[in-house]
Amino acid sequence: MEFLNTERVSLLLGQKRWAFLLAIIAVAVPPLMGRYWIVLANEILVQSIFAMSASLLYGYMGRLSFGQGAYFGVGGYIVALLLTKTSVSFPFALVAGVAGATIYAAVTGYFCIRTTGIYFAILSSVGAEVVHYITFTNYSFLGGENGIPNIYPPAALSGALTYYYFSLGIAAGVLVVYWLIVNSVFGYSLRCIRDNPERATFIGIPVRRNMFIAFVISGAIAGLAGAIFVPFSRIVTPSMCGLFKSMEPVFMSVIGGGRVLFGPMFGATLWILMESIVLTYTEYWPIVIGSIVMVIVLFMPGGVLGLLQGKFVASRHKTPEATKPTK
Amino acid sequence: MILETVGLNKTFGGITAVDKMDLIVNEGDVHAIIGPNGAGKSTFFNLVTKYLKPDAGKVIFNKEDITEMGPDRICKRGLVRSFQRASIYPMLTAYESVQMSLLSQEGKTLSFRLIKGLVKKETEEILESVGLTEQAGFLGASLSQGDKKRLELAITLGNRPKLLLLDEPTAGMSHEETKSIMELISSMSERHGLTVLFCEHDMSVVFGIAKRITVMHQGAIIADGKPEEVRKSTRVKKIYLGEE
Repeated sequence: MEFLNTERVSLLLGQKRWAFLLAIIAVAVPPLMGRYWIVLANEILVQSIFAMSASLLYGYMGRLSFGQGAYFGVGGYIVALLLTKTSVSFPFALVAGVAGATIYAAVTGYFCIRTTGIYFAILSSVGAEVVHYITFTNYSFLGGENGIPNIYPPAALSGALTYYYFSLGIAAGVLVVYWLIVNSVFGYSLRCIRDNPERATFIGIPVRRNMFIAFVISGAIAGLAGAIFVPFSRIVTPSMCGLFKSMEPVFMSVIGGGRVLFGPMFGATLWILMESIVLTYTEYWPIVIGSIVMVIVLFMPGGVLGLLQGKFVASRHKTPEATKPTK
Repeated sequence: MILETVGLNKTFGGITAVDKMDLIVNEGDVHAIIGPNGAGKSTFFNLVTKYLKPDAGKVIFNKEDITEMGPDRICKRGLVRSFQRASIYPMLTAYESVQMSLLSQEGKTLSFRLIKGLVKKETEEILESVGLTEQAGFLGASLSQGDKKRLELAITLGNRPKLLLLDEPTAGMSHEETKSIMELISSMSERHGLTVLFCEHDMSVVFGIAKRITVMHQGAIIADGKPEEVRKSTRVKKIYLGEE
């Protein structure tokens, strides 16, 4: 049976080609760039992973989480503590960071998935504020507002470029997993919940269970972003945990397009590049990005890529109303 | 008997919507519930499918007490409902919508296998049976009203129901669409031995296909039997059919 839908179109005609092109750029270009740009590129990768964690919930489950910073922060702090205060191996620290974030996501998710709409957003942000408060006030163990400095990756990854390739590998892995999830039966159960939770229940989808699992997966992805960011930035601070940090992945996926595979990555790239450019002219970056988000929410609710994809589909595909005679 | 309710009761702030209802639905029947607006038909439906929680009474499906079960578990047992207003997924294609019912019924909603190509044959069969083959690839939101109702039915059929509960299946449909949907429902019932319980306003629809009719008034059953028996009942005539 021949048929098309928005996601399939991009899968058949766009995604593979784009993925190939992006992969070439991501591998070949950084060695030609200066250190400043490599650092930025690494940040783009981390934020892409982070944005995907929010997009899974926002774009596919239809829930706006303002708590992703919590899992980013928990992942980051665990890695920081293990690498500065113990002698465990680097991979072990990363795994522990992700595990910690996953557990915290399970605890907060248990409560969050029992709410909808604005209450989901508020309750999820509480989880982030709790982490922010604890890291901000605890000086003896977590360094208070100064955070934990002097976090070093193993020698093999200490160069900016090598660490960039390490992040690239992780980001590519997350992208593949993300693609698998959103196109799997489980992913479609989330789309059913997003579109019509009541109906989803009445076709036998265990709505709460699947939402909970998606929430935990999302937390694990955010935790991974935090875990690989910290050894690169060499420091972890409370500002990586709170409500403001939690807004970043949400806005990135809103900008790029939460329902499009490359939406979060695109949004993260745009965000980081604009930030670095705007900051050279003015310190009022939040005003600039705020205006951009406002324009996108008002005029392209599907995000930049969502808009492009919509135009693309419309030009190739007629709606049934257009093809059927009206009664 | 496939479904039995015993003393099913529901009140909304002092108003009794369903008043100690005892109803038996026999296997293989096309059974209609009729009654004037506010008779409690929809509430009764909602109680049976656990959309609402009954205040008292029991629902027994296939000899099993399902009164305390959640809607998703009831659905897995084969008691599936449709909604009065087409309740579909705006951003899923018709094809994917049916696929998900089938996969959910198989208990696969936790599977991380790609959905593409799964349960292809069954999905195509169901879409064909409701006449949506050509619209398979359209997003739910872009379907016409009539097609949305068809999709609604297709989503319900995807759950492989033993007992199908249809809450006004033809509400908002044109006369021709009503006819074709009702023909579809009765042929489904004959072909698959499916039991159908539906409530409906349109009298011609009810007397056209129902093998048994239950008449409700103010939350209680006032008549129950074969169509000709119900038609003859003087009480029903007085209250509902508006005849003297």
